[in-house]
Amino acid sequence: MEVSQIIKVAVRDLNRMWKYRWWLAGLVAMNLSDLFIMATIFNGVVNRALIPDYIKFVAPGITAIAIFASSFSIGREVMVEIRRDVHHYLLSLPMRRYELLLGRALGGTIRGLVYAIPFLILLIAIEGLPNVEIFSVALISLILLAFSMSSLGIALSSISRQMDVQATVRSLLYFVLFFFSTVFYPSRAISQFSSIRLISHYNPVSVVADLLRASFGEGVMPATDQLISLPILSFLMSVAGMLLYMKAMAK
Amino acid sequence: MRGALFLIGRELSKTRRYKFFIAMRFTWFAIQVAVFGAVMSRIVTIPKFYEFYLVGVYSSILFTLSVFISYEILEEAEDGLFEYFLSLPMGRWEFVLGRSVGCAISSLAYTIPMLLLVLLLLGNITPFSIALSLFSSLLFAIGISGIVITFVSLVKSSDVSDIVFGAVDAILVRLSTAMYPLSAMPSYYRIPSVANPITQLAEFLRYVLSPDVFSYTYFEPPGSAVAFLIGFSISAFMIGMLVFERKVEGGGWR
Repeated sequence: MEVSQIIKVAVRDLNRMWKYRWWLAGLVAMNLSDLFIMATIFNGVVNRALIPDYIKFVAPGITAIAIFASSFSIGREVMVEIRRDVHHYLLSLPMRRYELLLGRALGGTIRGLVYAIPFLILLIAIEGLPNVEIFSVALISLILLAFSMSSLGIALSSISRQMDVQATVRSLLYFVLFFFSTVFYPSRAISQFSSIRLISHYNPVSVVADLLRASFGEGVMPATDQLISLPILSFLMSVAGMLLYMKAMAK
Repeated sequence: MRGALFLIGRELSKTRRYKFFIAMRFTWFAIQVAVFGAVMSRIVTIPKFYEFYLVGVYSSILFTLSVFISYEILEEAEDGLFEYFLSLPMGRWEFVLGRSVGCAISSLAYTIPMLLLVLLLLGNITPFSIALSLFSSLLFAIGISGIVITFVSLVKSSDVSDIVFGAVDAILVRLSTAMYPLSAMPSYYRIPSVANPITQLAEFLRYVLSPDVFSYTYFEPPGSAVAFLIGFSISAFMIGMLVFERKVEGGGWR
């Protein structure tokens, strides 16, 4: 395996990130308005016994959503490439197929991390300095989240050539990961909804959001089973993504 | 008027095209109502938050759908279909009217199942409530369609339109009373929120569908919301007509 080939593919994807600057600008507007409008207003009406400061509660969740959505965006690009047969060009490049696959997933991961950096800085500005040990674990989980979401985005783009079907499935997944998580509400508030609680418990977005909160002294550390589930889910999603992508390209 | 009627009929004939998009939006609506609304109602101190939120989420989805459907004029222009429309024997005002009303009726048609679900959950399905809800929603959708058609005719760029509508959608929905009452907002958010058409529609629908929820939102009298919606739809059409004639005449889309 030649690492330089993987890096070349990843750098190509990173350079192409700016091609979607308009889409990114919309995403930034959504994430910032969630924080500065929605969270600010909800902060005045939430039950203080449950959430003492809603802005501080939501900010780590929005960072997790930001990295999830931006890593996921590589799927849009893969979808367009497959529809326009650009993958024939990619397959003709002098590199092994798994190098290409790893490079694409890595490219999506780096895109997610690049997008998340300003949100992490904003998070520190809002919350103060984090606990270094927990924050280091949170950063590793952010990388895992970005890698798994980029693989998942690629996997979904490879299941069908129909744009409508892909957009529908992608959005459905987006909504589930978004609302069935602890981004907007603490786990205590969803304890009565068993299905929401179960999905939320193992939702990688929840795990990352809770880890970030814990690093700033908010909430509690995710349970051991949650922490273990993140790399396992990340591995499974990555393998599924790569296999489906390869299958779609080889057709 | 025949040209406008033709365009309205054409818009309605396309309604089956977006079945996946509609399925996706309905899912989004269902998750918002069943998950986000239900959980948030246990967290916030706003009385009857769930009923309050039901109407708000319907207003926001009607806004998003109206923008999406009206936005198709841009894709048609990029496909070269726009010049064909300009060559049709109809006035420019008929084009703007036909597209605005056609897109608004399509958007409304797509959201009828969601509106019925809201009415059902609020326990207020009467001919009066249905008629008033549809009327106010139609006025709102005509105004939004008119604004979108005006804007895309003005900038003629999918890149600029993408970012503006992406940002406007995100900001306008959050800066409205779709999710929280006006009384919960800091003073600096109240003025833009009152001027926001989503707020006006949501508050009027609350007055019609759930008056006890409306009473604690400390909003203007409901008549002012209707006046706002009528003024909004008429002025969006007039501005659309003026801008459209100036921007596309003699040069098509480019």
